[in-house]
Amino acid sequence: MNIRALPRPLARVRREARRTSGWGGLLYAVPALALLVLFELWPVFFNLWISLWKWDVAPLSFVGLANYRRLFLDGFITRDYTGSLAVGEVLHSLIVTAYYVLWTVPVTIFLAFGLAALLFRQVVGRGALRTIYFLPHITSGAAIAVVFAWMFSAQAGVVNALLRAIGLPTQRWLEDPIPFLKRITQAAGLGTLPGLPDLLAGPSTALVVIIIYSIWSSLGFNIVVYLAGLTAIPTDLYEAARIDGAGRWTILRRITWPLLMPTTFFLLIYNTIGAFQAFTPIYILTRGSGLGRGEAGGPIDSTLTITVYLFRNFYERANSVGYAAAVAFLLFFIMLGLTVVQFRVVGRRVQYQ
Amino acid sequence: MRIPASRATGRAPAWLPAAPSRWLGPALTTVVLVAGAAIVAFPFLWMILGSFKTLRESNQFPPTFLPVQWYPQNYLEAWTRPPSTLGRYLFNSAFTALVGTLGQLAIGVLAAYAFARLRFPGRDLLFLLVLATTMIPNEITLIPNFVTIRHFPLFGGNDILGNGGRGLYDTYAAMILPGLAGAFPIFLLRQSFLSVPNEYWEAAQIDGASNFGYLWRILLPLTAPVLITVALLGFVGRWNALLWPLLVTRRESIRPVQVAMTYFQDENVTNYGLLMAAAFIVTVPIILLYLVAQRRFIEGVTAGGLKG
Repeated sequence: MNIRALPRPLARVRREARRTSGWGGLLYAVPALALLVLFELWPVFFNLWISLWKWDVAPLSFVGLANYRRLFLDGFITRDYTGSLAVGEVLHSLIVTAYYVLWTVPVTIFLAFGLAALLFRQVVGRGALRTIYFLPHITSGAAIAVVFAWMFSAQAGVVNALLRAIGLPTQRWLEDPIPFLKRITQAAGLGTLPGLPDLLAGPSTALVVIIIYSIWSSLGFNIVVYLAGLTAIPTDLYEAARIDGAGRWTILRRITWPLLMPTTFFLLIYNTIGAFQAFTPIYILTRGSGLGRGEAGGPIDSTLTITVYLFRNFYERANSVGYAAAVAFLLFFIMLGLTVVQFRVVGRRVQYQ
Repeated sequence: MRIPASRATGRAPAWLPAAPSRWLGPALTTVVLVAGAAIVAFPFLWMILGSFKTLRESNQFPPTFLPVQWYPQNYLEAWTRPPSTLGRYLFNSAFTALVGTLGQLAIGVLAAYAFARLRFPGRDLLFLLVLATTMIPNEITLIPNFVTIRHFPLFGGNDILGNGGRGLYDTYAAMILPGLAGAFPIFLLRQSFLSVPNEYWEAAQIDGASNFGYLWRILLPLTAPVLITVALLGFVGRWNALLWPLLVTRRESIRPVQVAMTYFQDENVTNYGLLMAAAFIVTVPIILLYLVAQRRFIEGVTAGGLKG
């Protein structure tokens, strides 16, 4: 539209433009800005302040860096009741978190990539299949986690029934703090590898259930994101490859996978951050088992990820709100660091078209 | 006249069995996809079947597949069993999710409009500030926000400095307020406002529409799909939330249904039949919402995905 062709209203448009270019426009953004500053930005500084205090329901005493000293010294290496050196609580929960993230994220991404590639080609019932795969992502609350509690129940679980039906030994699942790897070697007749410390032998059997739940619930999201990426790949690339005699597998490996690198990269960061923050499944599935009955993270802290450790200190322990705030800072910097590292390492190999 | 497909495409006539290389691939694809979907759907099936099993049957090993004795009374018991009734928890969830979502939408629309269409000093810097808050994880805001809620001035017996009472702790406002302004909805709405051609704005100006009139009568109807997407994602996220409502509430009469789900387990012998009935009642609103508005959900996810 040519505004110059409309001489009379032009002045009015100019006047309107001037009217919208004052401070008035800011008024529209003020409610959002006020809330974001109060509940998102200010808390970063407030959290730092709290972490310098011994704090329960209210501040008790200013302790300076004592919470950080506890976090980085006792938290990593401590002495057990016999006086010998032992792994501290923080290091323990970081290792548990690492197992959880390193199993959940790659498996989810690979499964999602494979299923999306198949789903993209599928003609019959594609919509219905996508609906089913996506459903767990939408319903991922406490209500659906309790279904897993029943399915993996040691006494009445359908998973154990399936294992028994195909001749494999049943497991205690959520009640079992022993690494799943040791359960496998045990079943294979190699014993439980007593020389290998539990913490070095991979995720506990209980954590494996959490991992399975997490893969199940985030698979659909990853598939949908991959499907969007697949639609963006121009079809003439496939045509050209086919003319050059490339098979399906070659096309998948040499064209689809590299071209979807930006998508994979996004999912890697998104899933890793999501896995670090996982709370609901661990809270629902692990409170009922082990010695610390009623406390999330059991049995014997074998599902105690860093987020659950933060929750435990904040909500379930006395006088350690300040310490929990210090843990929150550690978590914040780990997540920031991971994002930067992933950008550098993977970013170099990402191929943009 | 219809030309036989075989002659038109030069392929083998339809009465000849196709070469295995032609149908084996697609058949395998279908088998893998259907098997995967069956595994993914199994927990839902198991929940529905289990909700009709008696206490004894749901605890027996090996479990039955179909209920031997159909026991729909689980639904009645689940409704009345927890400390407060399930109906009350459902109301609390629906209320906080609805008010939170509508509030987020109203605040988000105004902010997105300001950042997309209006000019004011420091606009771009402030928008960067909004985007920067997406980098702040929930964990770091958890404790400070709890303290802020507890020491909210002039509420819940607190004085002007926020001391003396319990502030907003244990109220609906405590559950709703901290999540009311999200950076991501503002970002998404701003994108959709920017996609509306400038001609609409100029035409509205000539017709003498005010800023708000243009937003209300032209921009919102044009971007309704995005509004619905933002609303749906906001509602589902709030319905499924557990950690924050658990922290800031204590009274059963205001706690949401996800927190109530944790009570069914705090017994020696879990009544899984009852638990599944409760789980189904809690999940079914979300499933229905998803089936009705599936496209909007998927669009919301891809919008988020393409952001990266």
